[in-house]
Amino acid sequence: MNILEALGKKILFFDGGMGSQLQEKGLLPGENTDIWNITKPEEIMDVHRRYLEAGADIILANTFGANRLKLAGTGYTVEQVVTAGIQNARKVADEAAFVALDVAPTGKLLKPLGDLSFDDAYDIFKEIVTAGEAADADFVHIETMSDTLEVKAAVLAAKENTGLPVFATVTFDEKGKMLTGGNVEAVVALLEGLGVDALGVNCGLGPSQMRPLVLKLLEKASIPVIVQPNAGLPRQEKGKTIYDVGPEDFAKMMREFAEKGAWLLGGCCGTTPAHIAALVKACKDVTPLPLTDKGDCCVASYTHAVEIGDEPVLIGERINPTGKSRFKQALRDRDMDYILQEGFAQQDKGVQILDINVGLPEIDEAAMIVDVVREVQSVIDLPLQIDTSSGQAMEQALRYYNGKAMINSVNGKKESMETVFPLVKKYGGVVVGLTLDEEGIPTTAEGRLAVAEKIVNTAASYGIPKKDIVIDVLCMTISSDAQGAMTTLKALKLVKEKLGVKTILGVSNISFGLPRRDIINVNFYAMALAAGLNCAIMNPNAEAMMEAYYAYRALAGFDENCSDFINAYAGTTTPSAGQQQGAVSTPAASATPADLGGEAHNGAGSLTYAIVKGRKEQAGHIAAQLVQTMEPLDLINQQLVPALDTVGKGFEKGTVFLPQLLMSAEAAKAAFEAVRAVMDKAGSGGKGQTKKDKIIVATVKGDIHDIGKNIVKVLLENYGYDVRDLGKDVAPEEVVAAAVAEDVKLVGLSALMTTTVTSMEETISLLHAQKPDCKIMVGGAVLTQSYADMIHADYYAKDAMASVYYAQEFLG
Amino acid sequence: MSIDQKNLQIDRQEILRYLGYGTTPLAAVEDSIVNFIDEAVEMVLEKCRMRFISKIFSLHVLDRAGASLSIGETMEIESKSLSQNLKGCQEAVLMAATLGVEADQLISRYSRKDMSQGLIMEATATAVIEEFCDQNQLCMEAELNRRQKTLRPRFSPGYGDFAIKHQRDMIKLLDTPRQMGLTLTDGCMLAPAKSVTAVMGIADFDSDGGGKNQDERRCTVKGCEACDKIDCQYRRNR
Repeated sequence: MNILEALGKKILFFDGGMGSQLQEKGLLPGENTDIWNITKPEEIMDVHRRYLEAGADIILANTFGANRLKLAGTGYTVEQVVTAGIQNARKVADEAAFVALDVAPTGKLLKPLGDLSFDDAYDIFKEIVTAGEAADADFVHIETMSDTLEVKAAVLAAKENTGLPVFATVTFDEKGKMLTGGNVEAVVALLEGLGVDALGVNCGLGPSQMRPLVLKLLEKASIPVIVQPNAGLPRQEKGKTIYDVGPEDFAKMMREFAEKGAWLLGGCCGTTPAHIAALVKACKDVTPLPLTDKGDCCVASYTHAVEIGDEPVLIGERINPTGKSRFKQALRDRDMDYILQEGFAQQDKGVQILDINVGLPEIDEAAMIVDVVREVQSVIDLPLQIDTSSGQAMEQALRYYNGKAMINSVNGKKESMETVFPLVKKYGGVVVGLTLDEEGIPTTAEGRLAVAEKIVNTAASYGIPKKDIVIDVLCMTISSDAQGAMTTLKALKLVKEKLGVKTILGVSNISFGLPRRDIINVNFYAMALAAGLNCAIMNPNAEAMMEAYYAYRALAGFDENCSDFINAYAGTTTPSAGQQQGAVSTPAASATPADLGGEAHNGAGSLTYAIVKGRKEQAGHIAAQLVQTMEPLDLINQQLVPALDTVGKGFEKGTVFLPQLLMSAEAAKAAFEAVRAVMDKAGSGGKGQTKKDKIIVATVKGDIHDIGKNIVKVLLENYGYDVRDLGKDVAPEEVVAAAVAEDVKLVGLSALMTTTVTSMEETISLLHAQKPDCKIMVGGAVLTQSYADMIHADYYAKDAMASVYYAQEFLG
Repeated sequence: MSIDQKNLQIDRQEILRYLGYGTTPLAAVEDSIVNFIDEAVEMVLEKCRMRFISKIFSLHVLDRAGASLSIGETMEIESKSLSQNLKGCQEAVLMAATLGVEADQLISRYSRKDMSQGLIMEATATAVIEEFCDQNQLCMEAELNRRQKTLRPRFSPGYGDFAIKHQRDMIKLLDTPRQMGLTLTDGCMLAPAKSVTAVMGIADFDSDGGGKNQDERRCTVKGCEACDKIDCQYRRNR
């Protein structure tokens, strides 16, 4: 019988701990368990046999650590160890028992937290699952996963390379989080999206600590649930690890999980054949509860899920180049910091999902969207909405996205659905369906409902449930169609009522061609909310929109005690009549705090003063004002640069310390940004006029610490250099390729530890050979002048300012 | 004996030292920096999920010259400085501590938001992991004192001539990837970065002049003086 056919017929029992059993047979701490499949097969088979005698239906082959990283140096291949592992289990399992290929974490952290790439993790898992299928495993059991991205790599490897059923369980701590932060809801969204056959929780906790998590899992999951706790929490006694929960107590607590709906039960660390025997005895008469579709419309990041339901959800639209020249330039320059600032600002404003659109004709969108998704996810934990019309970019972004994404968008055209739905099915996601098709946008609400229905039905034929679709009934500007808004609202109500799907709108189209669009937008938004709109793609910097959002939540009963509303608006006042909205936040009003009375050129209140003191906002505001009356280049040369020099000299003398130097750098950056905005507007091209030569900075291969490199980058940018940041853990070839491609004359390399200085040396020698006119400056905690000489660096920068001085000396 | 992370007392002066201020008093530092240090301490103590594990292993000297030793059954080390540090001990504690991924995430987030804040977050996390190790160490020591034993200072791979490659043994013996999510990169760096592994000898009271008061003990708990990198810019009393 296939394991999938067996599911739900009766409660199925896994085996218990393997490692603890082998320790009793003499396994030493740190010794590789998996090669026992070959060196001591009898011992392994004995453990399997005892679990089968205890009543286990499923035996996990002893392949927990059978990956190429952990087997390195043992003299055995993954294929050998996996094959032996499956065969050992097969030899003792009778016809009725199932043998699972056990797939566990690689033991390394994935990028950006560690140095293992997603693709390498995928390859490691691919090797295991391929061997497992060839050796005749019944299914792939991915377990003890503590990172959402790693479990995603494992599931994709199993599903893309084998025809086996895939189960996946993860480990939470007592706070209900995985090591990398994921909670129960995020895990359910991710794993159901990826289409695993059963999901659950194992290891980390005993049954009592696991209880609230199991109940939450059962509440959220629509597919079979697996529970495999440890025999309590471990403690050390005389150098031995002890687990305190005995078989009877274990079984008693597990019975509740079966009664509440878990279909598969077993044990992890510290559990023994006696635990499994007691478990089987206590639970075998429980009839599995039928599965129920929980129907939640959910997207997730690597930490949490956002439910799209009755309570309105805000999706920030600012990461999008449409109509924004500065953003376009940032994309062309790969200026990730600028893009991230848009993300931070929107998160601070309170959006729950960030839309990511990086489409620009002259850039490789598929590569760019992956980079941006990764960069954003490395510092912002909100779920993302992948917004692209390119199928290729969508696939790449969905593959590397950590979580269950929102996907923007599909429409009623055959071609669109044929491109997008297979991706939604494969990677999971909530897809936005636009009610337009080959015939265009229907003018009537009924017409839009018909397209929505076509989208929902076609999705169903791909196996995509209704809960993973959010319909956008589109809005047409009322300046050309007086009924535009009413048609949209009617369609919105219709699709909710007839199809039972959630809805989304980008509200700002409604006012196209009108003056004071903000007035129309906010009122339309409020009307749409009242009509049941579930989420809006909007600009959270538009204060009035946020006001409408908070007001609606309070009015509609989603804001208990109005506490969010009070938080947002207590202490603020209604703008008085005649006062333009927005006037309260003009630079003039906020840039003159009381303590800055002086008017002298570099006295308090001057740009120089703001930069020297490291006052970022003030520097930005003053620069924005000054540039109205001053030539941008004069402003830079007469005020910005001298201010930076003052601070730089102070740093050299030891009167200014690094945090202050950086605060001044950030203030100068804000001033530059303000000047640049004016230059961009004036159409002077912005770029070439202020930027000096290009400099590459990178942290060398093997080194994942990048704070030093980041400091250098901020300062070099301050002095006008066009800095290309290759990131951390960068291979020598990659540095050389970038230097050659962009004909860069100066490269800055950073290394933290002696072990990575060797890869610095390799990078230097490769650069010298292939780009002889390029100079290399080095820095980092372990480096000294003599070390730098030894590895043939051109310059040793003892601190961040030294790198600036060298750049000035060498490049001018 | 677990440490309540929220109650760790973090010495602001120590954070200033990591930031390069040397012994400049807190009162002489810009308000905005001092304020953000306070915020950073609060965030690190609040958001991180700190973990600590330790295990006792037997020690064996492998040669008479005393530069080669083994810990447990599988870890063999050539190191004069570690041998010196463990002289006279029959057992050693292997420990690992981490602030978890949250510390790294806070540092990267603030580095991208505002570099000066990123730097302060980094220095703060360093001070917190050190204090977290100290407190756990004091706890273990109190327990050992009851058995008339005491603990030697922490000694980590990469210190002196104790080769960094031994991180691999530490990780394996303590099973840290599974037990606490602490992993190694190919270059033997700990990931999450704000983590520590160390060996600490267990010595008899008499051999180490036991019975010292807590303040005196704190000096040996801290590691600077045990390190021979005397030109280190972060060294105390340089």
